Order: sequence, then structure tokens, then C-alpha cells
Amino acid sequence: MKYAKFLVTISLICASFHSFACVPSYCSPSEYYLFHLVNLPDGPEKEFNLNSHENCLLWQQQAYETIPLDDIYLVVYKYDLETLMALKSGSMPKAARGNKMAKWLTGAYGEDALDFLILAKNCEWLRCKCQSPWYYPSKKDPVRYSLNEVAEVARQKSTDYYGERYALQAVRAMTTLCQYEEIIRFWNEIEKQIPDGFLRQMALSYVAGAHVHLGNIELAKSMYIMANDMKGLLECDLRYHPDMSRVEKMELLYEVYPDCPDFRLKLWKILGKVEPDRKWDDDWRWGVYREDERVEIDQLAVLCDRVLNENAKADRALWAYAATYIAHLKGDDPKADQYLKMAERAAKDKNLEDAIKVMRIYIDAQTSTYDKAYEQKLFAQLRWLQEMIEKDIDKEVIDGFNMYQLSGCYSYYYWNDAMRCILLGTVCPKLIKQGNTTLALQLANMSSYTLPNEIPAMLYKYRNKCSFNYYDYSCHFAEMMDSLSTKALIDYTNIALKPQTEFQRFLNAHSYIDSDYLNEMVGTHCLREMRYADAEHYLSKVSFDYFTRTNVYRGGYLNSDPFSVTKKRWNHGVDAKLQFAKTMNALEQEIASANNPNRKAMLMIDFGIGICNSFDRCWALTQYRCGWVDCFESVWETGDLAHEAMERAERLFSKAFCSFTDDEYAAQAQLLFCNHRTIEEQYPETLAAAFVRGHCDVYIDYHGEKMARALTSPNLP
Amino acid sequence: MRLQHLLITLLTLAVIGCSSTPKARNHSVEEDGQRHGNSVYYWKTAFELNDSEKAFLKTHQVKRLYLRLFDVVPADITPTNDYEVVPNATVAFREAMPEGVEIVPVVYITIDALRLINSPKHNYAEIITQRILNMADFHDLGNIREVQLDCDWTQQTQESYFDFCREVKERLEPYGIQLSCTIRLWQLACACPPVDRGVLMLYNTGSITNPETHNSILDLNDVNAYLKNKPYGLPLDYAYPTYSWYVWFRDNTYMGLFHNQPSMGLEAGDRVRFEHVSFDELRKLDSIVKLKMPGAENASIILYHLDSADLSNYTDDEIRQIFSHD
Repeated sequence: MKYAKFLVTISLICASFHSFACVPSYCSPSEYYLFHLVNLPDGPEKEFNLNSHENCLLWQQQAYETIPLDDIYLVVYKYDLETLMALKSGSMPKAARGNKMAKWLTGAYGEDALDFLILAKNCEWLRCKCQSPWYYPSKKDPVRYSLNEVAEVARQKSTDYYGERYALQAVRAMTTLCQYEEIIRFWNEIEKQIPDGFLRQMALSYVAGAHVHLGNIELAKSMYIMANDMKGLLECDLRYHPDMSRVEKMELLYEVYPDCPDFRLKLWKILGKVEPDRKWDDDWRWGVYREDERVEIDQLAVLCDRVLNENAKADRALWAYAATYIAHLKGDDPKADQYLKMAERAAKDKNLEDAIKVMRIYIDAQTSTYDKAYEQKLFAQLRWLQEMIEKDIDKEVIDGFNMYQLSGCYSYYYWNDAMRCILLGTVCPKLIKQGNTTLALQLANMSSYTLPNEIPAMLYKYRNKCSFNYYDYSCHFAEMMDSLSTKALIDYTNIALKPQTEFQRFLNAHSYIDSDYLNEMVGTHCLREMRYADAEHYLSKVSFDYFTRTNVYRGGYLNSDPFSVTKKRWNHGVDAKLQFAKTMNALEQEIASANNPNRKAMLMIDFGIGICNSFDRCWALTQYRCGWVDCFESVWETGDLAHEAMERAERLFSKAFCSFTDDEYAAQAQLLFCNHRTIEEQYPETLAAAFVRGHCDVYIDYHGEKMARALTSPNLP
Repeated sequence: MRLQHLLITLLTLAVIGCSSTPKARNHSVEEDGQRHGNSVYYWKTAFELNDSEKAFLKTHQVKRLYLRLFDVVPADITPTNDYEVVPNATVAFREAMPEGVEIVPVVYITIDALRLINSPKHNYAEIITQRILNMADFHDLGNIREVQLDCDWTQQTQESYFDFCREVKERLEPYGIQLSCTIRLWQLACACPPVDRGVLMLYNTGSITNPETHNSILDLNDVNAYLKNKPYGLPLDYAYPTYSWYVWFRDNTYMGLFHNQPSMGLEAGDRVRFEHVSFDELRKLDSIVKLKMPGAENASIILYHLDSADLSNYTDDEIRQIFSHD
């Protein structure tokens, strides 16, 4: 108990000390979006607006093909009437300068297009205003036409070069004016002149609306289908109500239009949103679905079953794929497997087929027994997945990539997300549980590095140019290594550096294999397990250059003397860990061979201080981070190794203080721990006691020891 | 940066100062708050004057026409409408305004709408003012100098109504437009609304649905009881009734109103009460008003309302006498 103050201080600091040598992950790998349908937006929150894109493309085609789409978009969707009117008057407003579409509109060929855009803006403004019950026209309104005039002009010009555009404006204006019979008369006159395309579809939707108002419901339905206007189609059904759930609306739609292409988007919008299985609920609980999401998934499961049990002209592969995922979300993987087989049999579309293949890898990972046969199957599956990663990688993926996305597990690039979700989220944890840590580490390495390896310049920058390496010690592979035993790391390192099988070589080819990195990691683990001879062995294999590139070195986390009770600067070389390992190894050996009890006791005290500090102030000797919880939820500060180290140090201190035969040695040892009162009471005749008396002005300086004793042994008087 | 902000602010103020939209206009209120000139309400859903009505305006040199523009009523909140109150029965303009007549736009607010009008979701004072100004601008209603709100506010809704009046007044002031509002007889005993002037409504004094009521349009005893010979806190004009109607009862239960002699829907035993105000009654009303409302002898009279059928019950001379307090 004489060194209790030191131990208590260490314990208190351990509990509150926060320092960030490495960045932790934010989401977990199982949170990647796995339910995937291609040609849809990347995130569920993004709006699906193909029309504006198609419209800009058509403008490009109708105007001038070298005009950038962004310029067209700005003019068509963002410019107000005032700006367009300024262009019409021949001036170029500041906002329009440099815009190639605006320039074209003011040229000889752009006049008709500009007239159309002015009319369309008028129409848009009036229609928007008219929808407010409080609207009343004013002479100050920035419009040139009344809605009647818009309709009239648009009708007259519906056979011009921009005929289909004018036709759309005409039916829009007439709809707002409730001229339903006129709409139908007009459409019948011009329909044949309107080419197929999104403009025709949009106009058709208004014509269908006119038919609804006139009671021609069946005709309206067929037109809504032609217009791909599912909302309009649904509203024809008497059972339809805007407050219906999304699934109820899908069910109505299925009854009238079972092979509606919109089901892809609708399914994705529901499953894409609920997919991440860990999120905050309304009561701030983590990892549970909200009640409304659960209900919606249940409803969707019933609809999937209905579609799959009926022989309607539906996309069975799509519905079976959705049913697979729902069954998995509900925790029934055997049932998911059955649905997946249905999906595999029905798949005709290549993109959906690929998504189903990914789901197969995932469901296999969930349901298989992890044996050699599965290992071979997984090898084949990963080969295919790796091919997909490489096949689809493009400039957009590379340019948009950053390491935070990967270490934070943000959905980014589907094929890579899928690999990480399956391997890191399912396979690796199962392998670790089974004891196959080597394969788990191999797979974690591939999951963490297969995509970054495609962007070597970025990795090089992190490792050599930046003041902090944001990836090698923050990725899931590093975190997994950090969470495993030294033996597991040594086994893995041996295989990684000398692969034996084709599978191991395949995994290595897409991983980060660097002997410095691995040996440093093993050496650090040895320090953590107080295996100082082994630590010296592995750390001596690490190059000096590598040591200088580690975050703990660059961040100055190794600058404190691990052999001093109080904080003191440590002038070590770049190989601080190796120096520490060597010193600790030497101390350990000297303790074993020392015959003089006083010297032996002093060595034990030095050794104990080294152990304590390497889990406290000098944590960077044994750890890569402090204060963070990683994705494997290992908290070294309160873990077994730290506890074991503290116990060993305590035993060493106890034994040392019992071993002293010379009061002067004993008093000097107490002085190291600032136990002034003990020195004064037990060794008053020593030089150490004289030193204390000469330097302690007030008795409170003695009292610190008493407080430490009370904290560690509350029953003591 | 501060200097830059100051310059921008000064420049903005200068631009606003140069703007031609909200500007002060002259108005015809006399120094003593009294205002002269014959006036009449127009309370139909379409503005379309027949020859008699046009002649009436000319013959009696009507100076002001109080024109109802729209009512404000509660709305159903639907996915496409999030307004709690909406305009209703907006007047349709079928002809141009008569020359030489000042138009005073009037908006009628139902008591149910009043309960919703101070919602935090929408600024109805702004919305209503803007709609009035738009209508005036769009239909060339001329130089608007006054806007009137008509509402049968109660003691429970007084605060809400007064707040609303304040907001509308604030929005009209930059345009040099005054705000007036109608005052029911019983409201004379309450606080004055925060407006520029009022119109005392001397009609609808009785309960129309009560079969015992003799004439719900005007009961001089009721008028007499409400007028206390005390000055009111606002300059007042006075609205006199010149309309008539038929009130229909079955088994002593109110069934409805007819504006013309009813010929359909009546059953044996039904009772129809014809209500109108004779010239004599109007003269007596004027005498009471002059006697009990200080300054009323110089105030403007507004007839409710411009309808040739109703006005044909009075001779031109009778109308002249009413307008001139003779």
C-alpha cells in the first residue's frame, strides 16, 4: 500500500484520460445499404427527378449540342421571368453572363426558344399562384399573359418547332382553368404530332386528368399507365385516399398495373430507408426499428407473398428479392433463403441478377456452417465480387472517395459496401467466434484495403505526406488486430507474409501486406501482454523509417518517460517502443539474476513503474488509441490486460518493499512515490528523511499518502 | 465591414424612399374628423349596375361607394390548402367603376374566421391587405383612401379583432389609406377598435329568427336604448337601412329569407313577415341619432344598400332628405 497514491492516480487517470491517436468508425459494417437496385439514386433521401435531366438533354438536342447541361438547367429551371425578359430585350443580366444557353437564346437561333421559355415561366407562375385561395391578379404581377392567353398562344404554337413543349403548356394552363373538354378536343387534334418521350407522357397525364373530371375513368387509367403517372392512376380508384400507407398504395397499384416499373423505386424507398439495422428510435434506444417501420415492413411482407402467390404479370424476381431481404430483416434467414431461390430462378434482368448474387453471398454467410466447403464457396463468391468492384470502378468513384467514408462505414460504392457488409458484418465475427482468427484477419484486411488499393496515391499520401495517417490504424482491419490476442496476430502475420494456398494469395493480392506494419503491430501487442523479449524480437524487425511514420510517434505521444513516477520528458530515439521493450526485457532479466536484495527490490520497482506507465501516461507504448471505443467495442483501459498489468505492478511493489534490508534504499524507494510521511515515520534517520524535512514546509505534504491509503483501503483507520 | 453595411443600408433606404408604391395620399377627412358626402354600400357578389342604380348615384351625387370585395370564412385544411381562413364570394367585376365616386373596399369577416385569423402559420393581415390592394389595382378602383373591415366581433373575440385591426392599419398607413370598421349598436358600450373611423350600423337591431320580432331590420326602441348621448371615441359615419326582405316561418320556426315576394315552397300555415323601413322611420331614426350622438348632424350617411328594387320604395326627395339630415 505504500505506492498506493501512484496506483490510485494511475487508476483515476485511466478512467478519464482521452487522447485520439486514431479515428474511430462511426457506423458499423452491418449498416451498409445492401438492398440494392441499380439505376436509382444512391441514397434514399435524394429525389428521383429524371424529368429535369431528360428535359435538359432534349434542350441540348433542340438547341446546340455543345451547350453544357448545367447551363441549360440553370436557364430552364432557375432563371426567373425577369431574367428571361432581360434576355428578350437584348441585355445580358449579370446572373446570365458566361452561361452558354443564355447566350444562345439571345442569338439568331434562340429567339423562338426564348419566347417559349417566357411563356412557360408565365404559365408556371400563374398556375402556382392560382393554387392559393388568396391569389388575386395584380397589374404588378411579373407576367405577360393571363392563363387564358397562355393556353391560347400555346395551342396556336403546338405545331411549331417546339410544338410538344407548347402542347404541354397548353394542357397545363387549360387544366388550371378547368377547361377539361377543351383539353380533350385539343389533344385529339394534335396527339399524332407529339413524339414519344417524357413531354408527351407529361401532357398525357393532364389529358388523363381531364378524362377523370369528365367521368371517363377507365380511359383515364389507361392514359395514366401510358404516362407512367402512378399517382394519377391510383387517384382513379375510389378506394384511394392520400392518407393511405405507402404499402396500401402499392397494393392498389399492383391490382391495376402489376408489372409497373415504379415498383423498383417504391420497394427501394421502403427497404432502403429501414435497412440499416442500427439506428436511434424515438426513445433514443439504439438498434431497434421504430414501430411504424416495423408495421410497414410487415405489410410489405404480406404484399410480397401475395404477388409471389398470384400469377399476375409482375416482376417475380424483384418481389422475391424484396421478400428475401424482409425475411432477413425479420430474422428468418432460412425463409430468406427460400425466397432467394425463387428470385434466382426468376431473374432475367442482369442488374437485378447481380444484386441477387450479392444477396446470395450474404444469406450464405448468415446460414452456412463455416467449414472448408464454405471457405471454397466463399473464395469463388469473393472472386466474383472483387471482379464487380474492379469492373464498375470509375473516375466518379475514385474522385469521390475518401478514407472517412470507409472507416465510417458510409454507403458509397455498392460492390465494395456489399463486400464489407458481408465480410466485416457477418463472416469475420463468426470466424472469430469459431476461433479462426487468421482467416477473419485476412478477410478484414481485404475488406479494408481492396478499394483503397485502387487509389494508391491516396494511401501513399496518408502514409508519407500527412502529419497523421488516417487509415492504417483506423480501418477495421487495424481495429480487429487491436482486439485480438498476440498469438492470433503472430499466426496471421506468419500466413500473411508466407501465403500457402490460392485463397490466401488471392486475399493477399487485395490486402495491405507490409512486414513493418505487421511486426510493429505484433511488437506492440507483445508489450501489451508484457512479453518484453518477444516485443524486442518483433520491434527490432521494424525499420526506423516506419517508426517515424506511425501516428503515436508523429503525434508526440511517446515523449514521456515511462520509468518516472512523475511526468518527465523522455529523450528516446525514433524507436521508442523498441527502446522500452529492450529496457523492460533487460530489467526483467536483471531481476531474475540479481542477488543483492536491495538492488533487486529497486529493479522491481523500476520494472513495476514501467508496466504501470505503459498502460497510463505512456499508453502509446502499448496502444494505438486512448478514450475511444472501436467497432469491436474493446476498451483497453478497463480490459483484462490493463487490469493484469496493474496487478503485476502491485505485486512487484509489495514484494520490493518487503525485500529491502537497507533503510536508505527503502527510504529512497518511498521517495520515488512521494511517501514523505512514511519516510518520516519509518526511516527518520536516513538521508531521504533529511531531504524531506528540508523540502516539505507544511505537514499537508505528508498527508497525501494518507488520502491515497483511504481511497484504496476505506476500512483502514 | 461596418462601413460597408452602413452604406448598403443607406442605399437600401434611399431606394425604398424613391419607390413609388406605398406613398402618402391626401384624404378628405375634415379637421374635426367629420366627413361629408352621400354614401352607399354595394353588397352583391357581382358588380354590375343597372340604369336606375347608375341614375341613383348621379342624382344623389353619391360621393363614396362602400364596395364589399370578399368575405373571409374558415377553410377546411386539406393536403392542398393549409390556410385556416380563405376568401369567399369574391365580387365579380362586370363593369367599370362609376366616375367621380370614391370606392371604399369592404371585407366582411365572419366570427368563426375571426377566431382563426391570428394564426401564427400565416399573416392574414398581410394577405388580406395585399388582396384588397391587388383587387383595387387590377380593377382600377381609383384612388383608395379608406378600407373598411366588417365583423360582428364579440367581447370574447374583441382582443383578437383589435390586434388584427392594428396589423391591417399598420400595413395600410404607408399607402396613405385609412382603416375604418363597422360598429354594431351594442359595441358602442365596448372599447373603440384601433382604427381611424367607424360606421355605426343602425340596422339588424332585432332577432331575425324570432317569430315575435316585429321588424328585425330596425326597431327604434332598441336604437334609442343603445344610444346614450355620449361621444364615441372614433369619428363616425352612420349607416341607415333601405333594404327589405321577407322572413319565412313554419310552426314558428325560422325557415329562411326571401328578397322578393315568395311564391314557391310555401305551405298552408306558413307565415311570411315582410320587413322594411319606411321613410318616416328613417326620419325618426335620424332624429334620434342627431339627438343622441354628438356631431351626427354633420356626419355622412351611408345607405345600405345600392339596390334599385329596394331604393324604389323611396322617392328621390325622400332619399335627398335622408342624406341631408333634413
